[in-house]
Amino acid sequence: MNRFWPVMVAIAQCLAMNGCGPAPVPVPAPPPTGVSRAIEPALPKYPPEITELPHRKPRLTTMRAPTAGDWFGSPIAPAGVVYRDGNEQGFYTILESVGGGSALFDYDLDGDLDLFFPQGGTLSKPGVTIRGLPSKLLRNDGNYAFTDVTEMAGVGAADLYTHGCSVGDYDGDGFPDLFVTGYGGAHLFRNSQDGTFADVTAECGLACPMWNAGSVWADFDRDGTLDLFVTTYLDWKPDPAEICRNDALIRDDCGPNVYPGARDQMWRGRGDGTFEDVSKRCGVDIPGRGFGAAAVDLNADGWLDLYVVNDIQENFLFLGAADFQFTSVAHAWGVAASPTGNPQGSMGLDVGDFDGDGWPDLWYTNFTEEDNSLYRNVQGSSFVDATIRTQIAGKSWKWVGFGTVLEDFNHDGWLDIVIANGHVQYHSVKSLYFQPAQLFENQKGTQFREVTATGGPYFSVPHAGRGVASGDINDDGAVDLVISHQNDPAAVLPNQIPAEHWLRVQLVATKSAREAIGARVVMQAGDRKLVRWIRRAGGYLSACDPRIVFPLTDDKPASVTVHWPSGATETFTQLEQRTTHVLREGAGKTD
Amino acid sequence: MAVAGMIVLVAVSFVGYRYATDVEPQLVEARRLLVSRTAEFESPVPSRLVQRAEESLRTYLKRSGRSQNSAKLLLLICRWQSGTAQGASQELDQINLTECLTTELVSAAIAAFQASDFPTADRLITVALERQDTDRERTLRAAAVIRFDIGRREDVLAHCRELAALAPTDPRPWMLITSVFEGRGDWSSVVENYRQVLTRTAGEKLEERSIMIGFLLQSGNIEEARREFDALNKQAPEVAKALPLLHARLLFQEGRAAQALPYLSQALRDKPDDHEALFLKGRIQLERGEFAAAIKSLERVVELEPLNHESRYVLSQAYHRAGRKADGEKMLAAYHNIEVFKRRLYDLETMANSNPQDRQSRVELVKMFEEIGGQAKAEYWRRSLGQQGTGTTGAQR
Repeated sequence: MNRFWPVMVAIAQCLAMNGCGPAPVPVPAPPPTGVSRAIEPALPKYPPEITELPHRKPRLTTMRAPTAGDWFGSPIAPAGVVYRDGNEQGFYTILESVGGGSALFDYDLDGDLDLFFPQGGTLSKPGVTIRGLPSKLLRNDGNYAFTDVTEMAGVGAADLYTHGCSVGDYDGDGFPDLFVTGYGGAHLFRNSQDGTFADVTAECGLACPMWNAGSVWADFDRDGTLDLFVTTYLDWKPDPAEICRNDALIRDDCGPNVYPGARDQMWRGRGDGTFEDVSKRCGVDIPGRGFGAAAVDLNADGWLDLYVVNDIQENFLFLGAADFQFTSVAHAWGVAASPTGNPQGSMGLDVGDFDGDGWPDLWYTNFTEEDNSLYRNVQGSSFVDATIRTQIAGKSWKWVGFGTVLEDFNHDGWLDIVIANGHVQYHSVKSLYFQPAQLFENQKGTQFREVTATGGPYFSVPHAGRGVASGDINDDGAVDLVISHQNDPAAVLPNQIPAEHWLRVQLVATKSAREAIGARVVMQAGDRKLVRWIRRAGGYLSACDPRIVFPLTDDKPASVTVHWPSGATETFTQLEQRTTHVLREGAGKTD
Repeated sequence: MAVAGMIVLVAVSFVGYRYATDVEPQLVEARRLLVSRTAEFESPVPSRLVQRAEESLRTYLKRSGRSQNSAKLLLLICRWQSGTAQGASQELDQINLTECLTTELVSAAIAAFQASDFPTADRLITVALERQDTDRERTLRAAAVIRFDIGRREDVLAHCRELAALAPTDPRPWMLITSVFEGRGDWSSVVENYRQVLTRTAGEKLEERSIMIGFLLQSGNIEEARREFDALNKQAPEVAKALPLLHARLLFQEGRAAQALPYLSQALRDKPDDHEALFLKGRIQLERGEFAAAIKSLERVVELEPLNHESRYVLSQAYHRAGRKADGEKMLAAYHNIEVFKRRLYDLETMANSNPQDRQSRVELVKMFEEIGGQAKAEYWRRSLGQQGTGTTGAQR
């Protein structure tokens, strides 16, 4: 639909006066994202390589002073937490572009969220030798103070160039376990209930030799044991001789379009602490370039569905059914690509009810020169584009979107949006490597208003943003943020909009897997029904707070209805404010 | 700057010397008839003038004048102009082009281009581009047009940028740069370069401004598009009123789909088969749950634009949501086939554009366009194929 092409042909003819020959050809498809691997011609026509990478160039790092109206206070950089991508060697590999996430989870069950950060790795010669760096586990000491307990906890393995992490109590002992993804492998760390972890990857039968990125725990077959879905990015191996170029033909890191995708993996928890690969049987082993994944019941049939976003190719939507019988419906449901069918470079993903109709909507971030995507759930039958209608279109066109979450940051009951942006190309002439994060306020489900300017000091300078995790780190009823960056310290953003009336719930399932991932939780707030889902994975390669905070309109006790993954529905009444309620399946009132 | 000035001075002196010493009247006459008339891409020289030039040149060549190579090249121009230039490239091998004036080389390149001898046109303009003389601007102008038409888009960008520096007030190089980026779907670069066109265009530039609004919408810059549209509407309401589709697109992008519908109706009253208006209408109807109406609009788009994968994708959604699953699957399969086909085309074009020596991609492009009846585009890449191995590009110097 290139309506201006005839005009441009006229321009060419104008230059040519009475130009001869047929008009030049417009490119028939939209440009792919990322950098193309150009075939090196014999002729030295390319511009010289830029040896100075963005991190070494002068840049704006001085944030503005905090103000009273900011949503988030000055960022806190936990000591020693820096994701390293190894770019300083100048190999320009695609491995450098992916980055890492973080996990918010209470590993020691002391009631507050602790922080875990994959820390990437290094690249060195000979050839391109990939090495891992130790991840970091930080214990929450309260008031945004943290203690590095990595060594003591035994999660600092340095044998893997790491990216993502997810949290799930796979053995159902009440202590959350940790899964860490990376290039060529993954680790499952079992929580030993004493502040330490044991690497049980091999004994659990989890063989993940591919390039693993996102992961999501959920009890897909409702057998009471958590299963694990792992997205794999590309089928890629380092090649020191490989040279890629960006749009300006300057040498840059390689893009995904020149490598084949890889098959994602579904691991069924057997219930004895081991897993079996059921990827093929359940039909999810389609070659993709996967990053984010979310497990939620999108059509309210009682089975968890799976949505997977892929880089530069169509996204997957698998509707769940008994015994891992997934049906691929992304096209039919209108969420495989852009609203006009063009595959996007999708990265971060979250699920939530943005318009307050009680159905889970899909929200994901995309590459530069693509809008981010908001799809409204049409009562569990399909999705329609809401990006344009909510006026998000065009707002992030310049940026490469990575981590993102749908969260109610200002306690009005409507889900807001935060996006961590940052380019993957070092020397793009069109879009900068360091990019500003963005914040959007939900206008009662009809529109999103960009409020980045009042986001706080962090939002006043550009970053190389990647993973975003959300959770109430200081237990004040306001959702905080943790954002990871490429080669820069991670940032904890304390939410400084005071939450006056609120309550929090944490679910414990007894008839399905303990953490009740995918459970639908409903609270009546005045004339509105607030609907949330337990969705640990989110934000791009990250794990969010498994608890749900509800804002309240007054100081009275409230009721919450839980639709458990087992199919049971229970109501919990007289829940007091400003505290966390552990809701156990079977302890509520059934209808 | 001083060095460049010296080069220009030397070049001017050299050209002046050549003209001053080359006094043979026949050659002067032929140059007057041929070179001055092919200074730009004008209409062919009238045949009687070509005949006169040819006679003068043959006389000159018999007398063994000093500028034999120039005369032979001018003779080739005559043959291209009269359509009798078979085997011209072999004859060109016998001419020492370094002995010819730049203006002759450029005119010969234009004549060869006009005679559809694209490899020879590119060869001649390549020699001309190696020179930095007073004819530089004309050389670049010719090179940009020739190479635009043979698909050497990186070279076109390089020529236009150099041209823009030499003629800073001329909007045309920026138009061509814009056109290259539009062909690539690189909308932010389109906007950036079309801004240069606007700053160099005199008058009210109402048409250019409306084009810019379209570009702004394509590049996701909705707020600026609104500002520009409102400004245009204020200054020339009759112009804005005559752009109902643009107005509808703007409203749709602003999330005001319902308000866009009357403008779409207006656009479709003017042009009932405007596929873009029908597509937008179909999308809005689908969003509003008007499945039957959406299907009708989108089916018409598919009829009008059988290779449009986007309309097939949206139509498949409409079928699915209307409960016509089988039709939806069928349309989805068609979308996939076209999408895969177009993606392959895009990849090939990217490879061909990034490497002028890439013969394999060009051969496949010709074949693919021929398969779908895209003869003009097939011919375009066939021409580009003809440029293989013709030496260095202007951009490489």
